[in-house]
Amino acid sequence: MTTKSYVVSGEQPVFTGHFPGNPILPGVLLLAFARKALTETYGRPCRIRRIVRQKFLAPVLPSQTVQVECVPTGSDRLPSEIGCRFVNQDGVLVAKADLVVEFSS
Amino acid sequence: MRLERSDIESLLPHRHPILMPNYIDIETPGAAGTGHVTLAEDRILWNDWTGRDLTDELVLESAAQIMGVVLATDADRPESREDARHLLLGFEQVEFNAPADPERDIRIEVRIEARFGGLCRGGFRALQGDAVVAAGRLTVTGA
Repeated sequence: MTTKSYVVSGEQPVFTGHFPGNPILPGVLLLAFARKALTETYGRPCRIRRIVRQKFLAPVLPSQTVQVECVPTGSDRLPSEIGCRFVNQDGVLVAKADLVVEFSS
Repeated sequence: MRLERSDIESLLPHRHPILMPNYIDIETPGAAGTGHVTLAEDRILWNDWTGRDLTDELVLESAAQIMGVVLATDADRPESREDARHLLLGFEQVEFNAPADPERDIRIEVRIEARFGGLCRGGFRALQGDAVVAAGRLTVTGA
């Protein structure tokens, strides 16, 4: 299992536009966090090829921490099917996703 | 009906650097539209991540924003225009093909497929030229 934590700083440029006066992390950035976590774990660039399903369950706000947990469904050295959970610092599940990924060399 | 950036800003709460569509052609108000997006537009989103680093993610974000605008043009549901903060709930069966070229225009077609309760599901297809770079379904609130 891959587990990485990301601190959501309110200083990030995305919050000026999402949304002015009401900053919320764009859900699609959670996918980027998962991709980054998998890239770092397996040492190869990871790309998502398929989102089987992804659900956003709670907003992620500035100053929160998001823990990304990625669990491969198989035992391959470079997995292709991954289940991801995104949990905030209070243990709240904020999103989950079933993905098919590929790693480039 | 073509909606330019200023029209889009009147319907969506998103702003630079994550307001994605340059313009949107509404084919059927409340039901179908096609947006045009340039990912490489000057935008830094997260640390050093730009639109060039987040092509797949921004295609998804663009589809969601275009869907919000399509819903906001539904004359039979004026409440949808008054509160176009359609909250993105999720994606299903999204396929990414060859990575999009962030320097080129991406055309994203959105079609509303179903409304149930306060939710709306739609399909999208993102193209560069004739090549489909991504396609799938998404669900938002506020239908």
